[in-house]
Amino acid sequence: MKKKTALLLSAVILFVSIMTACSQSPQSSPQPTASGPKIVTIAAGRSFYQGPTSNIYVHGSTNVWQALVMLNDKMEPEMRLAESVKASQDGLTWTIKLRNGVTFHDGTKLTSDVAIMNLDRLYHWNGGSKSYDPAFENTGEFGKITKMAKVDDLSFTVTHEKPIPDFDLRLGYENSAMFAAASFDSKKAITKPYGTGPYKYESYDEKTETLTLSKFEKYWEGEPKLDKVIFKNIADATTRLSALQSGEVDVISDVGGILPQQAATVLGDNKLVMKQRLVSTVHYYFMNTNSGKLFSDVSMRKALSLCIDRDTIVKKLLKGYGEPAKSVLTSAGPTWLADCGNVFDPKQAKELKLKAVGTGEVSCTILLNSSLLGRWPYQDTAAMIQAQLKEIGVNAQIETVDSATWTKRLKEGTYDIAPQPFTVSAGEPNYFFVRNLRSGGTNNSSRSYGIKDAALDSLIDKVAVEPSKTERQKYYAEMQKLVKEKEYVIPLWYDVTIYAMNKRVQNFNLDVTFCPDLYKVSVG
Amino acid sequence: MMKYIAKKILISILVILGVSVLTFSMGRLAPGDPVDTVLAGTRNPSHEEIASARKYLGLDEPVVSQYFRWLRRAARGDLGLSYQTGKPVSKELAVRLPQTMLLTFGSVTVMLIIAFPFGIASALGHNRVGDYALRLVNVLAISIPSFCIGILMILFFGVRHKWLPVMGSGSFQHLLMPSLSIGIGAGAALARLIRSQLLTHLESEHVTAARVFGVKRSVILKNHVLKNAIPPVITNIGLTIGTMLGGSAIIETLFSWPGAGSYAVKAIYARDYPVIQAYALVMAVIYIVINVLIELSYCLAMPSVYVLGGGDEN
Repeated sequence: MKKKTALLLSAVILFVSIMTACSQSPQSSPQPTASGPKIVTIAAGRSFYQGPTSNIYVHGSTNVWQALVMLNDKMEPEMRLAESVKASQDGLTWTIKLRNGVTFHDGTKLTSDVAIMNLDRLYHWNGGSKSYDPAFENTGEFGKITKMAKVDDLSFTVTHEKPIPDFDLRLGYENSAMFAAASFDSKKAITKPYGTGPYKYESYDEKTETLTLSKFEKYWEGEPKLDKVIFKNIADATTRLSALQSGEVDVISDVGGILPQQAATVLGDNKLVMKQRLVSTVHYYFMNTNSGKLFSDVSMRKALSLCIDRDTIVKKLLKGYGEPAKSVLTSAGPTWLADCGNVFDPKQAKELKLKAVGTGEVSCTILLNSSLLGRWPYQDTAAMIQAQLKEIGVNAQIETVDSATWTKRLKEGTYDIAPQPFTVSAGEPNYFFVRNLRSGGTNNSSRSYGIKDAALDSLIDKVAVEPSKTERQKYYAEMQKLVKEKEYVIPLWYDVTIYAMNKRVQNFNLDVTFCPDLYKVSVG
Repeated sequence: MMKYIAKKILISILVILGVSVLTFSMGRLAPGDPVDTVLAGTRNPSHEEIASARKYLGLDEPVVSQYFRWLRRAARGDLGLSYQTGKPVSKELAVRLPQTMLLTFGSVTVMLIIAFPFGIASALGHNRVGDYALRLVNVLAISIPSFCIGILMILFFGVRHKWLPVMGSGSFQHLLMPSLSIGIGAGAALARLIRSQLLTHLESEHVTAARVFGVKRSVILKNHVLKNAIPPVITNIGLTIGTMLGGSAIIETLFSWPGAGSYAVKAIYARDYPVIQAYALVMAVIYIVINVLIELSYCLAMPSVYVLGGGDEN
C-alpha cells in the first residue's frame, strides 16, 4: 500500500513538473533587479499586436514604428520623422523633407524612396485580406493623389488633384507610419515590422498575448534607457489592477486601462502614481435615424439629448474623470471646438416627446457592445438614461451583445441607440465628419445611422478644400451647430484616460492619442 | 466483457457523432455570413473575392456534403482555420490544451485533497460539532462562485502579501490560485457526496454485523464501507473533470491563464466559429473518453456488478 502511495505521489510530482516545464513562457514577468536588465512591463485591456492583416502590425503605443507627423497637445501637427511638410502656393503640391540620420531596425536608412513606398502603400491599403490594392485609393485619408516624386534623398513631393489644405494633419500618426522596405511581403503586408522607434519588435507570444520589444541602440534621438519593454493584454480590469499592485506589471496604460471606480484604489496605494490625460476620444450616442425608426424624428432625438444629464454622468459614474461634451468635437482640439450648449431638461424632453409621438409609451433599444463594458461605464450610463427616458414615456430596452453581433446589428439597422467611442487620430475634425455624418460615409452607411443632409454634405466638402484656417474654423462651427440643431449624433463626454505606474517608472506620460513616448521612460 | 466494452465504445462513437452534428450545425445556423467575417478587413470586396471566400469555406456545397467534408477533416485533426488569425485551429488548440489540462489537474488535486478528509471526517463524526462545522464550511464553499474565491485570493495572496502571482502561467506558484479557485467548490461538493455515501453504508446491516462480530473499525471502514461507497464518487469525479475542462474559462480569463477556455471566450466574442466548433468538439470528446475510461475501470475492477449485472457484492 505504501509503495503504491509513493508511486502515485511520484507520478503526480512528475506530471506537475513536466507540465510546468512545458508551459514555461514569458508570461511570468522578469523581476528587475538594480544591476539586472532594465525592463518595464505595461498592461492594457487589449493586445497591441495587430499582425500582418493590419497596416501597422503593432499599435502605435508600442513605439516600434514612427510617423512622419504626430499630433501635439492641441492636436496640431508636430514633426516627427519629417523635418517639414509644406504646401505650394496653389495648395496642390506638398513638399516633405525628412529628418536626416534616421535608421530602421534592420539597419537601412529612411530615405525619400522608402517614404514614398510607405505612403503609396498606405494610400492603396485595402484591408486585411487584400493588403495592397492598386485599384483602391484611400482618398478619405489622403485626398486624391496624382503623383509622388523624389526631389532628393531626403525630400519628396505629393501632388493632389485638388488642394488638400490639411494634408499635414492627415499625415498624422498611422497615416504616415514608416517601415523599412524589408518589412513587407509581395502583397505589401508587414511580416517583419522594422520601424524607426526606440524599441524594436522582438516577439509576440499569441498564447499569453505578450509582446516583447528590445532596445534599439541606433535610435536617432539617442540610446533608449530601457533594455526591454513588455506589453501584456490583461482583459479583466480587476486582474489588471491587481497585477500592478502586486508588482507583476509596472504600468497600466491605454484608454480604458483603469476604470474610474478603480481610481480611488490606485490613489490609496502609496507605491503607485496615478496620472490622467484628456485624450481625443469622445463617447457618443449614435442613433438609427432611418425612416420608420423612433429617432428618425428630430424632436425625439432632441428629447433624448435633453434626457442626458452629462454633469451627473461625469461626477457620479466617471468619478470626475471626464468632461461633459459641449459638441461632437473633442475639447482636446480647442482650435475647432464650438460650445453647442448641451443641457439637461427632462421637462422640455417630455414636451418634445408629446409633440412627436403623443402620450402613449414608445419603445427603443439601446444596443451595448460587451467588449466595451470592461473599459467604460456604458452599462450604468445606459441604465441612467433608461430611467430618464421612462419618465418621458419612452421604454428603453438595454441589450448587451458580443462585438460581432453588435457590428452585425448596426449593419442591419436593428437598433435605436448605439453608444460608442470615437477617437479622432488626425488633427483635422473632418476626420470625424467624413466618416460619421457625410452621406455615404463609412460608418454612416455600415452602421445604419441614416444621416443624409445636403447642407451638411456641402459644408463637409467645402471645408475639405478650404485653405484658410480661419474659414475652416467658421465652417466647423457651422457644422457643429447644424449637427446639434438636428441632433444627428449625441455626444456624452470627453474621455479622460486614467493611467498608473509604480514609483520606479519615471517620465511615463501619454499624449492626446494615448501613446506614451517610451524613449523618455526610465526606471529608478 | 469484450462485448460490454465494445458496446460502450460504440455508444461513445455515436455520442461523438451527435456532438459533431450539433457543433457543425452551430456554425451553419449562427446568424451572419462567415464570408463577411473572413472579408471583414476588406473595404470593397469584389464578387470574385466573395465567391473565392465562399469556396474556401466550402459554403458552395450542399450542407450534408459540407458536414461530411468537415467531419473527415476533423478526424484527420484538421479543424479549419481561425477567422481571426488565419492559423490552423488544431495547432492553436494544441498549444493551449495542455495549459487547460494542467489547470484541471491542479483543480482535481485540490478537490481530492479537500473532499476525502472532509467527507470521511464528517461522516465518522455524524451529527457532532465537527460534522456541523464541516457542513457549514462545505455549504459556504459551494455557495461562493469560483471567480469570487479567485478575486479574494488575488487580493489577499497577490496584492496584500505578494506571496503568489496574480496572473499568467509558467511556474507551480502560478498554478496555485487558479487551481484553488476551481478546486475548493468542487471539493466541497464532492465531500458532501462522500459523506452521504459513507453514511448510507455505515448504517447498512452488513456493517452492523461486522461491528457485532468485533471487526476493527479501520477494517470495517476500508473493506465494507469505502469499497462500496467509492463507485458513485468516482463517477462524480469523472463528470467533474469534464466540467472543469470545459468550465474553466472564467478562471482562465480572471488569472490570464493561457488555456483553451480563455481562447474559446475570445473566439465567442469574435464569432470565430471554427474555433468555437473545435473547442466544443474537443471538449466533448475528452469528456466522453474520460467517462468511458471510468466505466471501463469499473468493469475491470468489479466485473460481476457492471458487466454481469450482479447485485451488491457484499
